Amino acid sequence: MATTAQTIAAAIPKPRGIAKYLVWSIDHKVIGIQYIATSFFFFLVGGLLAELIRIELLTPAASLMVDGGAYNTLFTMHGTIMIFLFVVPMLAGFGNYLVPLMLGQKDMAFPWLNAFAFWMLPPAGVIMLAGWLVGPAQAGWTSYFPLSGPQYSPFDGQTLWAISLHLIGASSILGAINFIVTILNMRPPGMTIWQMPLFVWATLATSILVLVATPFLAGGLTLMLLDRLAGTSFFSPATGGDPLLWQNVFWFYSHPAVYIMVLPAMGILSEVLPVHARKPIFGYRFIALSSLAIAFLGCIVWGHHMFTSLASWARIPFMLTTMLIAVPTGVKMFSWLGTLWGGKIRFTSAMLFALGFLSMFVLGGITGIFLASVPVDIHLHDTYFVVAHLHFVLFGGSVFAIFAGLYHWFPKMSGRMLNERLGKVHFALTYVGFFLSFFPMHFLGLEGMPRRIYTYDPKYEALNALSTIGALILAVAIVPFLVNLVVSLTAGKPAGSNPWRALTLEWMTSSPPPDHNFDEPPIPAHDPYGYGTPEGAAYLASGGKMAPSAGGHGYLHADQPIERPATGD
Amino acid sequence: MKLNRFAIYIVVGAAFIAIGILVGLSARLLPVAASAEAAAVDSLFNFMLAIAVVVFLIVEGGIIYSIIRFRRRPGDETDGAPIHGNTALEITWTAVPAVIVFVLSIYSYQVYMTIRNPEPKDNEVRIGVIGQQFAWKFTYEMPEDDDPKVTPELRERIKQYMVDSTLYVPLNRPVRAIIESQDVIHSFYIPEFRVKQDATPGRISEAYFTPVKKGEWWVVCAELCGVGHAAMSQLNKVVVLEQSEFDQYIATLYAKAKATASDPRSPEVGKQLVINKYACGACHVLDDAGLVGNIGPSLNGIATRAAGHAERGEGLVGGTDAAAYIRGSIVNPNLYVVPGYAAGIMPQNYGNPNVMSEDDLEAIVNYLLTIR
Repeated sequence: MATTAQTIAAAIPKPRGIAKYLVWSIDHKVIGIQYIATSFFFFLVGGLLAELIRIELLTPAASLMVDGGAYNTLFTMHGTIMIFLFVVPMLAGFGNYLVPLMLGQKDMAFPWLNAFAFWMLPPAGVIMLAGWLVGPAQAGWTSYFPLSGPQYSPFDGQTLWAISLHLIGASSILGAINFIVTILNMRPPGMTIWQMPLFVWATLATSILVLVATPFLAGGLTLMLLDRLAGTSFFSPATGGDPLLWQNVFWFYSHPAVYIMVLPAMGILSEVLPVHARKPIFGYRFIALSSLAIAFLGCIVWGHHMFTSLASWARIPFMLTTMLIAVPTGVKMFSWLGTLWGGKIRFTSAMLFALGFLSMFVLGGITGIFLASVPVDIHLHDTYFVVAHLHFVLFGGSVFAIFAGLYHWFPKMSGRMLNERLGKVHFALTYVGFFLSFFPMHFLGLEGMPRRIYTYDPKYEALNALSTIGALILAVAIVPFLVNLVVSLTAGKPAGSNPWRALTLEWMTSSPPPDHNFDEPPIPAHDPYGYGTPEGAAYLASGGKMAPSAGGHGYLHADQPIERPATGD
Repeated sequence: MKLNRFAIYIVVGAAFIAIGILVGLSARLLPVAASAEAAAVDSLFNFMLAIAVVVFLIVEGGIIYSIIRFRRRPGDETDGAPIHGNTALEITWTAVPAVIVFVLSIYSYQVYMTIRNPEPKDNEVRIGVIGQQFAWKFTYEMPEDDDPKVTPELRERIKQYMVDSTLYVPLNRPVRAIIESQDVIHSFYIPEFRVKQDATPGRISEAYFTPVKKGEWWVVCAELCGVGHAAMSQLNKVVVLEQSEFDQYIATLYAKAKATASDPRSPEVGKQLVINKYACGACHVLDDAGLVGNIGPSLNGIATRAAGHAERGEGLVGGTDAAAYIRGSIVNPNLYVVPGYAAGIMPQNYGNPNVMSEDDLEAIVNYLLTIR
């Protein structure tokens, strides 16, 4: 039967090699890599903008920028690109590539819709960058009215910004529908919802969140476009509109967006940690349920972004819900620690980045509590403390997890291993550069330095210089990774199907997997995290064919890495 | 052995808590606390900091201990022990953070209730704060004045001049800032007072603080407001004065405002006339007064051009200086017509004192002479 599928696949002429990633494809693996490659390009663009920001901030006076407008454009585009064109689609790329494989399926539920969702992204990226040709957006990624309205932002870049986000939002909604349908309907026989890999759980929680929240972004953007182009005044106070309406609608999407960017990253962590610590995930159900709890709470905390503009009584309920988010987040942190505890930790590059996440994300979580407290937030709101906090969450969290995921699954995607030595250099430079860039910003914010300024009080100079040095280290840090990618793609050590001896289904097929993913319907392990159990060892020994009854296998022995037996074609 | 390990946990935990308390008591991370509210916020902050340090040490300590203690030894190909969880432990690390954030919420709520002060107090000082691209301005209440010459109408005029670019506040008296914006959103922020409130156009917001230290600090704009946002944070100062100094300041400001408002020929009066009485904006552009007409020539930079016309002796009435050119253009507009515009469009009757009084004319001339 495998042969039949292959014959049909072979009958249709298909581009090979790099070319297949440049054309329309409904193969979720191609689409996943298209997402990952596209968003990685935008990571480099956003990173370049960040370097320009930091170079400008090296000294208190204006140095690089002609005026504040040019600087406002820099951080507006940096924030927008990093969020909407890098982190969100990058994690969607992981989801696309991994979810069908982890569920032992040929593809997503709606392959054509999947491709369509991806192909909205490149035009969105072009439209966003085209802002520079017509006067780019400069009202910040939050684009508060009236600053982003027609009177104060007359340039067309602001309109393009909204159109681009509209496309990305639509893409995101289509992707979410696809994930939910796939995950709820296409689990293989023998995999209950409580046996799904935690990355799949995280993707499910994220997709629900996308489906609830993103329509609000679309609504807000539509009103923004009407205000800018059709002369309406939903948000303009001079003609009866309300600027706070934009803030409410925008944050009703954009706070959940934080979790859209963090939950899948947490899912990656829950996959990488057990495999490289050789130990079952600690507290599977608590981790799975905490994803849902975070998704739910994430929808009712948006007001904490408005602690200095909301009516004062309305700030209290948002303080309470925001504080509560610490609980499920803490559950995850401690469960991951419990996973490490008693393991046999292998310091692979993937594991180092996962440990980087653990050690840095915790700071982002702790500073979140300070910002949840209304009286403390009133002092810290819109200062560099917030910039530090969000980068510890989104860089210390999401970006570290993304790199952990890339090192972990690159062998599956390419069939070749990444170079571990270069990976460790990459990690060390990224870790140091990250900490130096963003840790000093806490102190700047506590001292009262506001964000989004390009000239500043000279008393802030020393810490800003330190931060700029960190940013330059980060710029260097990406070089070994790029070299590693290029070299390993052509000359990397062959990976084999399961180089990490992992138990989830994506490893139970060749690397890269064939077009149809599995030659035979795979049988999921009884426990996707059963490291150290006889069943797990037997399952690995059989190459995922089936765990024979635990019988003759020694306890705690996973034996040597096992290659998948050749399939007869 | 088991007791030993338990003892170690206790000792390490106690050490972490001790470090947390020490940091919470000794950290000086916030700027000088110059308001009564700042002291309350700082206590809360330091309390949170102490807890944060303990949590941070437990997590980072756990990570560092794990990567050392549970690292794979060379040659060891086995897996770790198959421990899937521990329900008691999991409930503990759900419940303990829940209790901590509950305590922090209550404490935060308490502090917030003491600093937000919505009830008007007898001794409070009310000061208007107006945000605009790209500066703050501050308006002050007028003192009592029993001068019989001060009619309600004059008092209304004086009020317009009770404005300053520096925020002066008295020591040890609660200040209620009444915050507005003229254009986009700004955010009124004084780090040393721990006070911040957005100035949202179309709304009136309030902020409260009680200065308890003498000094001068920046009034920062914390919300992105456009090209000049950065400069707006290093432009206006707040100055805390003794009550007597503050009274003195208000008296001086009032005297100046009164003099300006009482002089019927002052430029400020001229500006109001241009805007309100003579509808110059129907035809002329003048940014300073917000006029947007497009029928007659622009008045922006008029004083500079008037000086040029005066040198060439064009269209002068009642003198030979720039003022004479402006006066001429008003009372006899056809005397000199700006190229590109037709004669006879501008009203011809402003020379009639019944239409425009001598005082009004001179006030407008004096005002336009400030438009360079």
